[in-house]
Amino acid sequence: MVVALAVFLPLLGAFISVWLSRRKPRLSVIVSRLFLAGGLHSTIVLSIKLNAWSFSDLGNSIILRTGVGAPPLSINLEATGGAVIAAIVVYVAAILGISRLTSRNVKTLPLLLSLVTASLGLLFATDLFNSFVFLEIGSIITIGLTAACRCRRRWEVAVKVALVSGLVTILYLLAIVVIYKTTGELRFEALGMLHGFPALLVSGLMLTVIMTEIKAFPLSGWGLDFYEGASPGFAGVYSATWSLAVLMWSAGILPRLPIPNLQILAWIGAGGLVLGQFAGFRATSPGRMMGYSSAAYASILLILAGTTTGHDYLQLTLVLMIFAAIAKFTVFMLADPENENPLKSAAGNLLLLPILVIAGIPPLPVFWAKFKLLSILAGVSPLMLAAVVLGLFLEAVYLLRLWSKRPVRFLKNGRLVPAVTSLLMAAGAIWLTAGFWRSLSFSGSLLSSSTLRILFMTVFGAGTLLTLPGAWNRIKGERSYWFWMLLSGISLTFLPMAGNGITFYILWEVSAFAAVIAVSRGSRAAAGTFWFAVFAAASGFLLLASIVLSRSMFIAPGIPLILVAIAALFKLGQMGAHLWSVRAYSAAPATMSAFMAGTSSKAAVFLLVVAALGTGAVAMPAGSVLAWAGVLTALSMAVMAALSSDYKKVLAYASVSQMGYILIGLGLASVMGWTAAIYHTFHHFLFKMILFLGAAGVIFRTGTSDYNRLGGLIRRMPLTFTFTLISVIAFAGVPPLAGFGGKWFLYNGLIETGWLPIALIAMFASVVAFLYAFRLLHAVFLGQLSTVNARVKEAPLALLVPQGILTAALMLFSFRPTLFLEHIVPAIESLPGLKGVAPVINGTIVTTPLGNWNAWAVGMMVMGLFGFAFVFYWLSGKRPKHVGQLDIGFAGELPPSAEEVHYAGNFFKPYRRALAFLPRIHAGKVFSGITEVFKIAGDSVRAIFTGDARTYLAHSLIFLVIVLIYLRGGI
Amino acid sequence: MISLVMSITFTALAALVWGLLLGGISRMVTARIHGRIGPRLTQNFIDLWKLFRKKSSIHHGTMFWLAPMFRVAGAIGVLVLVPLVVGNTVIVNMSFSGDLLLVVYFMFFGCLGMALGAGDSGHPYAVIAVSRGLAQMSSYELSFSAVVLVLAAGLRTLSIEEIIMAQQDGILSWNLFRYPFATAAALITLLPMQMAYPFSIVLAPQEIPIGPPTEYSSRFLSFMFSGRAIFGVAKLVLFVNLFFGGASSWISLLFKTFLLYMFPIFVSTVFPRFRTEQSIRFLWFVPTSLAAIDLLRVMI
Repeated sequence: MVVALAVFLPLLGAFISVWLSRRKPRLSVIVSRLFLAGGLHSTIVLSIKLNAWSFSDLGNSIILRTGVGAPPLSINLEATGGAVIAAIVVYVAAILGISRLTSRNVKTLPLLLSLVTASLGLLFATDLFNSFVFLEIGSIITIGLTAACRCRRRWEVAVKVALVSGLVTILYLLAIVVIYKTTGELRFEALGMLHGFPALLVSGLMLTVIMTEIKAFPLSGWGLDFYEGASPGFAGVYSATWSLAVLMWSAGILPRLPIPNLQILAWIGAGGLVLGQFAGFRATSPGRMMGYSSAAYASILLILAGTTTGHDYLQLTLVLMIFAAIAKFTVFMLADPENENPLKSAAGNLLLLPILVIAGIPPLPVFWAKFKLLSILAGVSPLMLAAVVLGLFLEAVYLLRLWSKRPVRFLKNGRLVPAVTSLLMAAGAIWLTAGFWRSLSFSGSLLSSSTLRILFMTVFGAGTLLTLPGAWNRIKGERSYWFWMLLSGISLTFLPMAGNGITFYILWEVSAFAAVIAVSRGSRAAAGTFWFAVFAAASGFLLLASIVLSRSMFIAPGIPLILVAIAALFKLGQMGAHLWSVRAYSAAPATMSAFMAGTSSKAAVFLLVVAALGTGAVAMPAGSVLAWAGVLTALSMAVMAALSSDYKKVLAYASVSQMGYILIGLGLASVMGWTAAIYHTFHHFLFKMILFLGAAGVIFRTGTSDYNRLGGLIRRMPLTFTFTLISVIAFAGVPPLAGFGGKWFLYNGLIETGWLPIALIAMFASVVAFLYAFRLLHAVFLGQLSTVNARVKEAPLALLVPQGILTAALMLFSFRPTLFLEHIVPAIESLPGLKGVAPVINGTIVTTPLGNWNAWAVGMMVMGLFGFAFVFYWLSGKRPKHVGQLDIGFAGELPPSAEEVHYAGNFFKPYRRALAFLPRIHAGKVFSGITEVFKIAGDSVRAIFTGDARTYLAHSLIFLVIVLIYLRGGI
Repeated sequence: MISLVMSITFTALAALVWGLLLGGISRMVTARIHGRIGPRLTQNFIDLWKLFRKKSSIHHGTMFWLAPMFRVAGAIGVLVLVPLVVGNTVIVNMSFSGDLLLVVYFMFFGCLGMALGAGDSGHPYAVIAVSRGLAQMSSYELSFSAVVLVLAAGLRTLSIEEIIMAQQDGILSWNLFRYPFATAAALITLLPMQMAYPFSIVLAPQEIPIGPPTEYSSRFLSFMFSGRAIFGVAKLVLFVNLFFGGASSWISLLFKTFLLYMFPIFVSTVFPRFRTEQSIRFLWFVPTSLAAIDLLRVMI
């Protein structure tokens, strides 16, 4: 009875609303809602009865017989657990979508209700002919609802849908005839009874029918046109009702197809996924992007059908399909091409969640399914895994583009629906994460050394806490981002606690995408967010692939290790990938840049450390490759920093450049090299945080980061200057401050190993660092104070206090580096597999086989000499008189304005001239080149989607012929 | 502790006197080559005293104030980190506190302070000179780093004492003969280090009147003068230690530094000045290529 109610209540509603909508349109909407709510209630009751929510007994079912006799003469339904959950989604989507769909034309109401009935019928169908009936009803209603508008474009789409549906009908009927004639049955089970030629013919026909219906590449042409051309309201409702039902129905049929080796389905899916997503790369309208995304999910369904069975299959299809449907529904509900209201922030946020869901970012629900799928694929075929990862990455790229570029206007009002669906998705995330909680581990066993673990946790935790107060000082145009920064920071802080790959991956991705969101909230974020998101996605997918390939280990040697190394290089923004880091650091809200450059970039160092140790092969895959990448980055980025004239950009380049040294140290795979790397990691955290927080203060007060508009701020912001000065001296590596130590260990290690060319370039790079170090100090703080900034105040305390704390730590470790080294060196020494000897610490003296360094003595000497010179000057005569900033010896002339006298732009012009012989290689151009290649690939794939319905028919027929030939084993 | 302070004081004063004397000699020699009589030997002492005693003095801000102290502290610091005379146990200063890398990096300390003061003076010429100076410095440091690497990898040490000790088996064991190309490269880099022509683009009197210290006068300038004199001597001592077998006695130290000091002066008087980018490119390629020859030898 409940099943009957669940399925037929909407039908009853449809009949009533046909009658009612003409007379009392408003009442008819309410009544329809009531009917739908009644149906929803019944399905929920059913789901509880079937114990579907545990997700473990999805096969349980209740059978409902109607009419007389057995099918196909009557309609027989079977409500399985999975189908009931899908039915709930159908109901929810219908209830939520009703107002949007009927706002212009209430006459479509009966059609909508019938569509729900058809969807439910298809979900619960047990019989091929029953399914046929529901498929027909659904197709006809789809055509009707698509065309329910007096515009030519929608009519065109409707005609395409009609033509394709017609072909599907013919093929499907043919299949039914064959099946019935051969077996005398039409239950789904009949498919398994076929043998020989009928089996072959039916498989071909059914596969073509299903792939056309679920819009799997290459038979997805009509679906793309449909999603693009239909009204967003209907496309949304369609994707979460009819499309979902068809997918679930297909999921039921596919494994039953009488094909000898079902894995061919997976290959069709994997190939289609890659090619289809290449094509999606070029999509511009959100509708079409969603179309490509549904093609991706259709391909995934094929892959699942070809590689998984039983319980896994049911679970995975259900989770993937329902959450993708909800997410797509949400996107369509937000999109509104006819509305002129610009995107409001809330709508932007609401758009993000479904996109992250579709892209499968953890811990959102789809991720769990994708992770499981990839783990299974890693055991089936690495090639298929690679194809799927590539396809998923491409999908993520255009989805992120949709989010960051927002090519359409979005609804100003009507956020209720997306808000509700977002809640559903969030609930799903919590529910599934809770279900998978046992597979997570927080034992910290990935990194055996507790000292290093504590060090990294300190860096991540302290970095988050110290940047957090600054997040409240937002400049104009920035939106609140502290929450995302905190989220990113918290997951980073837990990163060293991760005990297995999946935990690590989840924390890594949450941190990365929370950072993406935080960056997107900057005042000039558009430039940086997209590439940041793309690289974050790329490094995420590489990491994921390597984790699933490594099975039980965290990272296995060989290909997984190489993938992880690339992921880490991306994350570190090393040469090439600096494209994202430089853009994102300079586009992000100022404090966020401090967090990213100072704190979260260390996550990649941590990953490299863990991966190198975990594989037992501490010698990284060709450590010298890593070192060369590091040293070339260090040099080229230092030059870029010297020639750049934007405060934050310089810091960004500098940051990337400094990470190069860490990479060299890790590449050395010796105790000395790792000491250098870990030492530098910690100190880079200290001084880069100070620098970026200082920059945040300057930008907050002056509103600009352009060197040409700054200058002379030492007079207005003396504390910020002092902190910046100390950290600049530190990172330039000038003794007695801490930066020197990192370089000293590094060169010791390089000379010890005999990597002299790398040592030479690294030394050169460290001197080039003086160029930007001085330029930074001069352009911002020294020189002439411009009249615009004559009244700026010192940076707010929220920025100064963290800088003060960090500076105190920096000074402490500058003069007493042994306090730090005492703990670090033994920890590194005890790590397995590192070669070379460790530096010896004796009191304040550090000794290596090559030389020695007594930071305390040098520090005291410098302080003493400096103090002596100072006191001597003070006592030796009259104090000098302070004069105005423009009171300078100007060859007998009056200096013009401060702005004209301040020399900050084109600072190292001779350097630029001297470099003129080098070819100009822009990472931007390189990546545009790669994008171009992708675009060309996409275009050539896309060429098959002509927009002409006849082509689409031809696709289906050609596909049928090919499949038949393949199944027959040749012509 | 007291003996250390006394030793450092003595070294610094001795270096100041020797540096000013060498400066006087250089002015005389240059004048003779130009066909002038030139100033007297003690002219630098007189100048320094005059500047120190000047009563009126101006300053432009904190960093302007501190820069001369940076300069003096940096110069004395380099000097005391370098061993002076082999086997002398009385005046060892701080040479046990760090190795060659520390000295090389500490040499930037004074330069950085100087640059900061120039920046704070707000004078465009001063900053133009700094930008030139830094650009040039980064260029010659490339070849100087190569030289450092040759010595460190060739002798398997970074300790200056050990580098000196490795050169004590007769004149042929000097690094001058062991690594002739590296030494040649080092001598070329000595020219810009001592701001000699053709690399004198920082002071460049005809273009940017004396560069970084443009705004400095009186006592500040006297500090800078002293700092420069001491720093010059420190660099000479370092070079003697690295390539010319170190000094076995005070006489030998004075003699060797004197001879070494003459090299930039003779080059300086006969060459015109490079443009900045010419200087940068020359320093990138010529001395580095020379040093690279020895670097390759060491590697093989």
